[in-house]
Amino acid sequence: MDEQTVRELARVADLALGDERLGLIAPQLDAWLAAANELSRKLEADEHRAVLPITVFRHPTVEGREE
Amino acid sequence: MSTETSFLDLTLAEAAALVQRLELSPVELVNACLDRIAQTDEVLRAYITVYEEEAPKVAAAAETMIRAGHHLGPLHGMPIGLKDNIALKGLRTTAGSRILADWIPDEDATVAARLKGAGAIIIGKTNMHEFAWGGTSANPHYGFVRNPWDTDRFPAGSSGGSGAAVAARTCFGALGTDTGGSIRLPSAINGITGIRPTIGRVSNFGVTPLAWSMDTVGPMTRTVEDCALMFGAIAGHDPKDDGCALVAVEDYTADLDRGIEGVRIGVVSDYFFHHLQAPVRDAVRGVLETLGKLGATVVEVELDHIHGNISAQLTIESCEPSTYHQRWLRERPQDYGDDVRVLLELGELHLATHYLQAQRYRSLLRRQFLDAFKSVDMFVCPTLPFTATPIGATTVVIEDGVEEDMLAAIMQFTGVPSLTGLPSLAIPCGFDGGGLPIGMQVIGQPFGEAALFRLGAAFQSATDFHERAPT
Repeated sequence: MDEQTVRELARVADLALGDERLGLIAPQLDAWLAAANELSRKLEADEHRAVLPITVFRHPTVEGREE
Repeated sequence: MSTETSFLDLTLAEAAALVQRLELSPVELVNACLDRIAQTDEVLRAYITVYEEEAPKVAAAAETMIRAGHHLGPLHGMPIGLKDNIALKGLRTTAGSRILADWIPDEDATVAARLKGAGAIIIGKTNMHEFAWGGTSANPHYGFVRNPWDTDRFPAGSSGGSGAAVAARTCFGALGTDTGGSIRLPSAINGITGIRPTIGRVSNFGVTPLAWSMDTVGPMTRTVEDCALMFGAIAGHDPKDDGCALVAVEDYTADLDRGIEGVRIGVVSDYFFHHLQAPVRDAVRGVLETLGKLGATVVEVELDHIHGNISAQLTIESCEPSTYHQRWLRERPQDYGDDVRVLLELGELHLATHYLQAQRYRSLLRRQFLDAFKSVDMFVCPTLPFTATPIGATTVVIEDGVEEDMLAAIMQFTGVPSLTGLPSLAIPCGFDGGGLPIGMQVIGQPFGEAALFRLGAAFQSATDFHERAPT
């Protein structure tokens, strides 16, 4: 992740970042997004296709249905 | 009671019994705590605001009520600290920030109102990591909180002020908030007990959010019994918080003496005992031996989805705070501390798919835990893989001399209950060679806090780690 990429991502997010901020953010963002992409690969597997985000509203009518 | 020191060495339960019998005055208790704060807080910086004038007045009223025959329960007259992201009507609530430095709430947080209703005396607002977004409590606006066991070391966080305040005997309990570990980490590092409740067990109304989908409030105390007493006062449904569950509140002290004969303890060895400082590994192994002697059975469990939890934790704990702070980050970026500003900027730069995959991962991990609870009753693991680091450190060495980023390392175990919404009790379980506390974490079933307290009480009946105090 280079500083130019961080600048472009921030522009897309409408977040003004001075040049001095880019070097602070780039290394950590690089590491975190690499790990996030790895997690995405895991969740892409066929066996997990039916898994819902935990924030989706559910209305179980039968006790213990979630389990 | 003959001396001030002896007041402060009592547990909450012990002091409460004396207060109820009118053998100890709430005024004496409050004044002793205020004196201790005055003696220690120039160094510890555990408090942002101390109610030196208000608390003795409330204590006098509490004593009057008891003398008139109106005893409100075990918290009546007990000096308690509140983390400063919990609103108190008419009193500033900063969330450890410059941005909210002058905010005066017009309503109590529900947990604050419940403590007051139970007769507790709020003695002060405790220091914290700015906006609870970090694990060191190195607060650039209100001072770096220091660890009472070694004031050159950190108290962890984000509820580091609450942890240091309780360990230093400046109050009889405190509330913290926990998103990714912010109650459990400072509990472990300061040698005290603390619980992160099941998501929805305790109201978040009036608490400054960090990450909505993982935020919780819980007590931090010296003993499991004290923790159960405080928990009973704050737990329960709140119509002001849509995330609060309509589930009956138990008497969390009822089973404390029941023992743990036959309890099945789950252990995921390839994760729970991997990548730890040696004293932490030895201490938690010792815990399992002790629990075995008390009648519990240790069961090896495989949870292959547990790997990956730190990334999910960091993704969610990045994106949600950055959403809450979006306007302030654009209008007042210079008012954040350096570390929190970077974290909030980072959270703006994730993709929606990263966030949603992390939320899907939570479902996966929760389901695996719920399946595992068919064969075990709870899990035991370390609270964090290392003991207190020097103040200001941003990296930590866990094994083989390799420096690691503090934030990711500190969440190795606490992220699991946060992601799954499960309750988790942190209990002191040892000390390293330098005399620094080590903590274990007991992870339970949804709304299974009473079982955690039962195990914790059994452990504390067989050990004395919780009785030791910093000098």
